[in-house]
Amino acid sequence: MSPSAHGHDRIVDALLATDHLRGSSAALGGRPGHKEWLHFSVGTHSVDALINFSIVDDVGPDGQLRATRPRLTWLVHTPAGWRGEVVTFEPSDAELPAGSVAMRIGPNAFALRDGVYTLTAAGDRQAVTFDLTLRPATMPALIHNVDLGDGPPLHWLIAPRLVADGVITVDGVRHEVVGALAYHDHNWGGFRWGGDFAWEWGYALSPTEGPAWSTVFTRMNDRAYHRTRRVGLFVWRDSLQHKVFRGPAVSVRREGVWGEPARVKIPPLLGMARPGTHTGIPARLALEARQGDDRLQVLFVPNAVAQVIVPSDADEGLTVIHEVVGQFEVEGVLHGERLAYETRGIVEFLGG
Amino acid sequence: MAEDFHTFLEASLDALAVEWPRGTLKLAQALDGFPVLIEVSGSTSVVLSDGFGLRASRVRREAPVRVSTTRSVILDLVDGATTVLDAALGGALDLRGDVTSLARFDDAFRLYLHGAARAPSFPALLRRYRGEG
Repeated sequence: MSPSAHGHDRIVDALLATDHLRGSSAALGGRPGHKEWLHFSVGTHSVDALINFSIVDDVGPDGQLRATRPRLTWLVHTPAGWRGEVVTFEPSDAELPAGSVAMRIGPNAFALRDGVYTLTAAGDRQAVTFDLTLRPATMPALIHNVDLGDGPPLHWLIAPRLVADGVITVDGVRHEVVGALAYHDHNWGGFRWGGDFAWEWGYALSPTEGPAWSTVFTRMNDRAYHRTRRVGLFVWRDSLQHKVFRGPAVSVRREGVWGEPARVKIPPLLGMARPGTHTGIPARLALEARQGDDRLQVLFVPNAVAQVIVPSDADEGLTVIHEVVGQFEVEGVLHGERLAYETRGIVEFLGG
Repeated sequence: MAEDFHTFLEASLDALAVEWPRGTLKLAQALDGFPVLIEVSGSTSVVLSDGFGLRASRVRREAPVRVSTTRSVILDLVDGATTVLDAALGGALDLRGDVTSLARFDDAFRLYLHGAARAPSFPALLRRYRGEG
C-alpha cells in the first residue's frame, strides 16, 4: 500500500469515527433544542458554493419538542451574483441515521462511502444542482465545548481540505468541478440562536502547487463584539494538523468598513423582516499570531456577500449570518518553514 | 388549484395563533383597533384585532392602511425575486395611509413575517396558496 493511500485510509477511518451524525435525543426523552449541521463549500474559477445539511429541534411554545426538522441551505456565487435557498423538509421525508456519516433530506443527500463524500442536492424553486464527490485530504480536528456565553456550548469538527470533482449547474449553466479545493465542517449543540454570542470564522486553502496548507480561524465573541471569549488559528500541512495558535497568541483586527450591500438574503421572508443592505463587514480582516519562533499573518479582503437570516430561539429577534467570499493572503514561518500563499476563500460573520 | 389570498391569510392567522402564541399576542396588540385592508388580485381581506387575537374578514371597510397588489407580486416577494421597496416604487405594490399609519403597519408586517418564519405550518400554507397541494 502506498504511503498516500495509507494516509488517506487513516483520514477516512478518522472521519467515520468522528463525523457521524449525533442526532437529537429529544424524541428519546432528552432535552429539546438540538441543532446540528454539516457544511460543505467548494470553490472553482467560476462558482463558489456552500451546501449545508442541518437538523434542528423545533420547540413549541410549551417547551416541548414539536419535531426535529431537516433542512437544506445552499448558496452559490457566480459572476451573475448570488443565489440561495433555505428549504425545510418534513421529518418523514428524511433519513437521518444517527451514528452514520450520511444524511438524506428530500432528494438531497451526502454520504462518506468508499473513501469519498458523495453529495447531490438541488434547489427547490431555483434551477441549481450539485453533483459532487469530495475526497478528504486532512485528518479532522475536534473541538468540544466552545463557549457561547449563556447556554449550552457548540461542538465543532473541522475537515478543512478536500478535493472536489463533479458538476454544479446554475440556471442551465454547467460549472465543471475538477480537482477543486473544498472545505467541510460539522457543528452540533443545544445552543439557542439569539444568545449572547457572535463569531467570525473562515478558511484559506493553499493552491495545489507545493505543500498543502490549510488555515482555519475562528473568533467567538459576545453578541455586541465587546468581549472575545475564544480565538483560534489552526494550520494543517498536508494531511496533519501542524500548528495551533490560541488565545493571547492571536490578535484579530477589523479595518475599515466594506461598503458593498447585501442584496441577497435567504430565506426571503426574513429578508423582508430585515430590510436594508448594510452589513458592517470590515474592508479588511487581519489576524496575526505569534508563539515563540512561529508566526502567521492572515489577511482577508471581501469580494461579495449574502445573508442567511435565522429566527432567534429566545425572542422575536433575528440572527444574521454574512457569508462572504473574498481573497486571502497567508504568510508566516511555522516550525522553521516559511509559507506564503494567496487564495480565494470564505469568511462567515455571525451576529454583531 | 391555487386558493385565494383571503383563504391563505385566514389560515396563516389561525396557524400563528396556535404555533406562535406569544408573538401573535404581540401582533394583535400592535394592530388593536387598527384595521388593515388588503386587496390581492380581486380578493379583499381586512385584518382585524381586538388586542388579544386576530381575524381576517372579507367585508370591506374603511381602514387607515390599504395594501393593493397581485398574487404574482406576493409570490415574487416570498421567493425573493423582488423587495417590498422595489415593488412599491415600481407601482406593483400600492401602499396607502398617512406616515404614522404606514409605520405602524410596517412594524406589524415585520412581526407577521417573524411568525411566518417560525410557524411550522407556513411552508404548507404557502404551497397551497401557490396551488401546489
